[in-house]
Amino acid sequence: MTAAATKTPPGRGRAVVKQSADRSRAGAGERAVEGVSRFGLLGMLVLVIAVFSVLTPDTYFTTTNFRLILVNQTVTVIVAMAATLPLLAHYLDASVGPMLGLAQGVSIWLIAVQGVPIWLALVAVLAVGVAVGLLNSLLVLKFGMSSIIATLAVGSLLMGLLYMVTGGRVLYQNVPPAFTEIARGDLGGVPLPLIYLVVLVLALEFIVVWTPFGQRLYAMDGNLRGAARAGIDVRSYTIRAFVGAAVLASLAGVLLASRIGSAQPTVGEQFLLPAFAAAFLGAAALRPGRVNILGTVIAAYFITFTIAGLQHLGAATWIERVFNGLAVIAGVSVAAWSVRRRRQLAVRHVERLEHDTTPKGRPTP
Amino acid sequence: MSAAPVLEAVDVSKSYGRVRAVTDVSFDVRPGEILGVVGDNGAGKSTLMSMVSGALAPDSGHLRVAGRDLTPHTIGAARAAGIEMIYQDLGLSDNLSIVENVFLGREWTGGVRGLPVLRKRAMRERTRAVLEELGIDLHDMNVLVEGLSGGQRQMVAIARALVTENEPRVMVMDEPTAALGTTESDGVNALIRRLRDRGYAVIVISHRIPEILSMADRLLVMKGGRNVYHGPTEGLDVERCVQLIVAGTLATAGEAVR
Repeated sequence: MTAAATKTPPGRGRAVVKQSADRSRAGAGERAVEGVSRFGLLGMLVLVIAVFSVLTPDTYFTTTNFRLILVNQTVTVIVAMAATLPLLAHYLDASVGPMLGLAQGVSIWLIAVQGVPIWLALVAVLAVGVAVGLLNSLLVLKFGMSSIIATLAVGSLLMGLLYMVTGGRVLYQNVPPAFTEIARGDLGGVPLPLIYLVVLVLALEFIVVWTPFGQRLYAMDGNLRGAARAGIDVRSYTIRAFVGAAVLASLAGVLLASRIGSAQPTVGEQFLLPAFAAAFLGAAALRPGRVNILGTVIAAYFITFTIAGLQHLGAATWIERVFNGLAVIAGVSVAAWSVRRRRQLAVRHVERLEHDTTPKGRPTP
Repeated sequence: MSAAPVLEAVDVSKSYGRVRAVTDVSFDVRPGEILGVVGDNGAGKSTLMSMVSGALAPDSGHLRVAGRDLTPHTIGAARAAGIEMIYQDLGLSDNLSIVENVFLGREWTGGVRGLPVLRKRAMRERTRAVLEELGIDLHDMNVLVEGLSGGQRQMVAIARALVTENEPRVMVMDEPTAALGTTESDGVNALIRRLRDRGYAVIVISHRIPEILSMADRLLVMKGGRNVYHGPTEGLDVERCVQLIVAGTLATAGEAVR
């Protein structure tokens, strides 16, 4: 600032004109970069679909296949959104996968083995979700554990419970059609899971972007103590994020159970990496550097469509795991890059401001 | 200057375990004045101001705003009474924009069928207006604060205190210029004077004795958790001020010392 102040010559009219010309030029370049980083992932998704459609038109580019991918992935996308919620405040919830697993086990066990009415079983499963969310919050807030350690431990606990409840067997008998209809039915030709997904995405996007909720969680990521001093009840927001995550994971679990029509004793943990791959890769989209709901959804489908495409080209099944790992790495790298980029832009913005305002911003005694 | 005090502390004490951080401190601040608070590290300045801002509850004594007891002792209650605290670290979230920081914790929402929808445009306009009133042009309210300079961040923190609907009456600023260069310090100090001229009571904690002496109308000097001087800055020079801070008394005979 001092340098700018001393450099500003008397003939500053011309300097100001030059500055504003610089600004509009830099502005266009910055806007282009911002546009690419904002919508790059969406573009990639379109590109991937286009490329694989050209390469394998007979198998990939069919409504059946698209529909299959869209519907099959609803469970993963919902878990990914579950992972996204605490991640807004930089809490990592590694129990969302196991929570999904436990929910699918308990729902089938209650309905098919214990004969509990479907609605009551659903209420019970969601209650388990709330309890797990509260447990995670308790460990993080009261015991001061780092979120990843606490939720890894809770996750292991949940996987154990799942094995106990199912007795280590696949529960497939006496599952009523009314329950499987939840995921297999359709409304005017549109598969029900897609409808659930759209409703959830819209609701969460609204809550995160258009109510104070999202901003406050982001603020906690940026400066936890500052957020508390700004009058935010950070404990309450932490609890809401963890409970929200666990409840979403429970919903995903119910959806999975209903779709498959049985309970698996070991399902759950394998959903974790795809969920975080989508959340981290999603941070590179739409609101660059910030984890966000729509970004997560786009990233999840980008990953799936790519994997499906590769498999249509004859890639082996292990490609899925490799690709999920790569997606995490790419997502975190791109997000870090866009944070750096964003910081540069902000600094440049300030420098331009100081050039523009130095003459009148000179301190008055 | 002769207006009634807007904030009064009466015999306020606070201990941490067996350590008495603040002992029976009384002071007041009036509208339209700058009260400087000085003292060595550990003299109890921060503890005293934490009680004023509602972050800490006093063990004994009273805090009154405009004649009414300040209870409960929470940040929310203090804010509702019109006390705004600006911490030395400012408490901004780097990853949020200027407007998001300014309204953090008290966002404006419009009830669309009972839903708390953020009034983003209104908050942006209000932030711009407040900053303009302060004579600051930050151009884009959506820029992230991480790129702002120290002085600009200070401005954002001050704007945060000014957007509230319940007009702040008392602004407490902890070392507002400690991290700033000379030019930026001058800008922030000019702003503090402007706030005073508008009728705010401004409490400024500072280590920069010459700066605070030239700016403050009255001074509160603390030593060992006690109030050793509370009076006008007139007649105090740097030397005598330092003497108060270090020794707790003015050696010169005949001086009115409390």
